[in-house]
Amino acid sequence: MKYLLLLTITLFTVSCSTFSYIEVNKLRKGMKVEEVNSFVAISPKKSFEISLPSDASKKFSVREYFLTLGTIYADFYMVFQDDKLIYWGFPYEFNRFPDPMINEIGATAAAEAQK
Amino acid sequence: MRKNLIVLVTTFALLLLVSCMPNVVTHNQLNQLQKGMVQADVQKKLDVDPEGKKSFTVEGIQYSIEYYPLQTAQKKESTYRPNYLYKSGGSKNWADANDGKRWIKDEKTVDLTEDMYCLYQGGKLRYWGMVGEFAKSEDLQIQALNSEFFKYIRVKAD
Repeated sequence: MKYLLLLTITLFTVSCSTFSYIEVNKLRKGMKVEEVNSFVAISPKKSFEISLPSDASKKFSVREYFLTLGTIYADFYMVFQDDKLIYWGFPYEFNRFPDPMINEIGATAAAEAQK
Repeated sequence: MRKNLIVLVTTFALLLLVSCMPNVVTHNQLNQLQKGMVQADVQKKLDVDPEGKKSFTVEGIQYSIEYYPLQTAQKKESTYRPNYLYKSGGSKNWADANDGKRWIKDEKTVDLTEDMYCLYQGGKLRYWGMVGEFAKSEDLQIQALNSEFFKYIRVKAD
């Protein structure tokens, strides 16, 4: 009976979890994956490693989420380097950023996410 | 006669197709934009015609902006219509004979949108986003251009 109650509560919590601007506004540069996981209740849709075509020594960890915007969803990336959050946003935000390295991370991550 | 029928059916099918096409841009479509794209490529990726275009010149450099409706959320809208039962002769009665409901509920999903701007420099895509994104841009050139850009944005009446 106790386990059934626990299971019900867990299922209820999981089913109600979303990733929205509430969580996005808590993100800070330099956060570790563990810290991000402490307030982002859902698992990423995809999680993968990339290295840049222009410099293979630069490696990044990418987590792709579905961001909830009311009743619609949009892809959203978080990028970590050496377990530290360096940039996050919609893929188009990576594409238009003034730093070419962020542009390249976005393009590489999008290509990897489509595999 | 047969030819007229074909024309009529084709026109109806085309109208139906156009009415079913999305008329908003989604975030995932924005993800396909890249700096340096020309206007035709941007329109192809967004699959919607811009709602307006404007051009201006700053220090001899030609800029143009196009604005599109960006889907920011959706909501359900309900309307009610009387459940009339029409009788022969044209008179109408409340539909006790149908399902007993006096009102019929019609529900549809409506897109909520915000203006999304594409800024072109010399015909090539330089920056894109909602007004607030221009305002907080990390791009120094966009920051410098903002005072001029904001003169040309469309302020929504609602």
